[in-house]
Amino acid sequence: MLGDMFVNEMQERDYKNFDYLDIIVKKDSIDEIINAYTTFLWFKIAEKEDKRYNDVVHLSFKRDVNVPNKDRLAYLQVHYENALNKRAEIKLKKHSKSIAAICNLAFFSLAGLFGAGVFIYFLKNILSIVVASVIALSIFALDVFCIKRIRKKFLSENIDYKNNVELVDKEIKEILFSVKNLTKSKQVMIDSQRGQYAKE
Amino acid sequence: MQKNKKKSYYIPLKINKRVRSPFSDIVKIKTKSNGQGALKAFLVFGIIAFQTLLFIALHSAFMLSFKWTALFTFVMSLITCIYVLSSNKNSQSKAVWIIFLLLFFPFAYIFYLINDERLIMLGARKKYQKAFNDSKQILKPTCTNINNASILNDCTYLYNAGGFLPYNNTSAQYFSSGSEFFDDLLERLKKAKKFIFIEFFIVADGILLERILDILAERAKNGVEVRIIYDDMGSHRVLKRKTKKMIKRKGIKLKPFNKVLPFFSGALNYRDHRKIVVIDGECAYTGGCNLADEYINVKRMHGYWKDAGIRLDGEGACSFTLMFLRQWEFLTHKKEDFSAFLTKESKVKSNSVFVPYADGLDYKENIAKGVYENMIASAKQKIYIMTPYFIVDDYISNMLKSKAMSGVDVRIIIPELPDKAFVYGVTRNNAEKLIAYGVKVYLMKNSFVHSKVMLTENSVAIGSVNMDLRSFYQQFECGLFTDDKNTLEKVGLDFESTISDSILITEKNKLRNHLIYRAFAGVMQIFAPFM
Repeated sequence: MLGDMFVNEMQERDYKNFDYLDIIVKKDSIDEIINAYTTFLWFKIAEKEDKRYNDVVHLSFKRDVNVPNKDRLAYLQVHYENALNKRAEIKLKKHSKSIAAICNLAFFSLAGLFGAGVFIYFLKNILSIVVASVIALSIFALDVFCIKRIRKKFLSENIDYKNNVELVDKEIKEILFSVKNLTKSKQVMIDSQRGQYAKE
Repeated sequence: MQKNKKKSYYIPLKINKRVRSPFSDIVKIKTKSNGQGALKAFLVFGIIAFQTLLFIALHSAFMLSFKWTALFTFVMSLITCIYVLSSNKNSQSKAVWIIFLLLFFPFAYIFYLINDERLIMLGARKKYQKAFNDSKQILKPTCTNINNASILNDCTYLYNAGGFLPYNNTSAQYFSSGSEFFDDLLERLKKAKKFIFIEFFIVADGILLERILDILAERAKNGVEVRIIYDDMGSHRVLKRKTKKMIKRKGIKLKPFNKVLPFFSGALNYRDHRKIVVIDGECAYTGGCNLADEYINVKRMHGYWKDAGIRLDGEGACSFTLMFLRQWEFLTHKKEDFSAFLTKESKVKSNSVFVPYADGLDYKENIAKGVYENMIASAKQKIYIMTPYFIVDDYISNMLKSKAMSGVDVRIIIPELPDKAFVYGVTRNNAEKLIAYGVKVYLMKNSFVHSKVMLTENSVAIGSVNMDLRSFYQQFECGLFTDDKNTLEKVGLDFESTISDSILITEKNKLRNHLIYRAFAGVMQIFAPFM
């Protein structure tokens, strides 16, 4: 049903009087995005599931071609989208450095231990066992030292993540506030537009 | 006894696996991809590359068979180097060509001679000259008194370099975005009564073209003469053949400039980068905008697309009419009476000076570059530049440095988001080099700046001319030079607003601080004359 509505909407687009916007959004952010785009004077006309991916939907919006301050709205919209995606990127890279450090540490530790094992296997004497033990102990000490530092890094990444997300959220709020200031003077027109779209 | 029911098994013909999306972005704008256009471009340039390689292979085989030809080609390369040194090319191009000629001496001189404009454009120049000579005296000067000395110098330069006349009795409306520009244009097109001339580098399928064609078709039906020139290199990927046929069927005359053919030719490099719309000879538009959706931010390509344009009403529009007609005559080989398209009297009364100008192979001088150089030279308080690319020669670079060091407020706004990574690398490198001398360089956040504007305290130049060597030396360009106070004020406000949306590049955050970037930019500088 939704798919049919989507296809019909695509076929019936009136490009002379309206601008259209097609986007792909993550399902867990749909409501936030629809609300934000409504602030930008876009009105949702269609929603469709993606055929391949289960965590995104396709949304379509339309807006009167003569909407006031269209240019400034377009500029702020780009900023808004970039800020939103930046938030996702921050979330993705939250612990990237400490995870990379752990992986590197694990790899080199295992490689060192493997090397020590090979050393014992081929030489098979007490000296080799002593040397291998020294290597293993050194690796253990280094691991303990590095893990302490990685833990510190992990905790600081948590703080950085929180600060960065706060900054991005603040930026998003400022953008939406600017947009509301831009469009509030034409509240009557917006309401009438909304009424017009609701009838459709 | 219960009968054993036969179990039926459903085997799906298609296994519908839905997985998590691979991208992390919360929101992605959907853009239609133009696979057909990309394939066409790939085929054409693939064939040209194949021809080039075939030529090199055959030439090398010939040289190996007849060893005396190696000496001959070396001597020819040396002679060509001397020929290059004596040419009017800028010093950077000369240096690059000489390196190329000496490094690849077996065949490089042939490539140079195929590309040399003095040879390949000889026929074209003669045709342009004929169109010029026939219409030389057709426009009469109307500007009688220019009080400002620097404006007078600039107007004198434009007259001597290209025969461009200054006009009074003209009004201008500046547009600080592509949307504003095309919204105004669409309204004005509906009122056309005699003719509509359109010339763009890019004419692309999309919503904007659909809107404009509806109006043009309606006007053509009502007897208005509608002509469109588009550059084939700029448009061949984005304007489908069926659209071209549809346009012609609607009674609109359509002409491509310098058709892209799958044959190696140095002439491929010469493009019509002008953006002109003339309506009834009374009103003309120019600027940075092409006829495509990204210019009105309907299609998202590189963040927010920042552009600029200007509309002229009055006597000044005649110059643009003449520019278009000369180009049309060159393309159609048909002579016509230009005076029928030129308006005799203007209803607008104004003392501001407007000088529409053009540049290209139809002119001997590099006029667009000259306009910028003169404006920089005469500026005493400020020089503000908005440009998508900043690939200039040492002369302009040194002028900007000197002006900044003399206390002139020099500001350059370039995009934060690039459209071509290599070109952007060179742009950033060139712009950042000026920071140490007091030039302020800004990146407009999340945007691609496509405006081509230069503003000083007395004058402004708006048009299609990028601050790069291609626009200065190879492309057909156009622009408007004016001292109109109203326009200066609006452009000034646009700069202020854009600067407030931009990041200032400082010594700390410039890309040149990274050694790898500097090395990369240094290598790309070799190709700067072709960017």
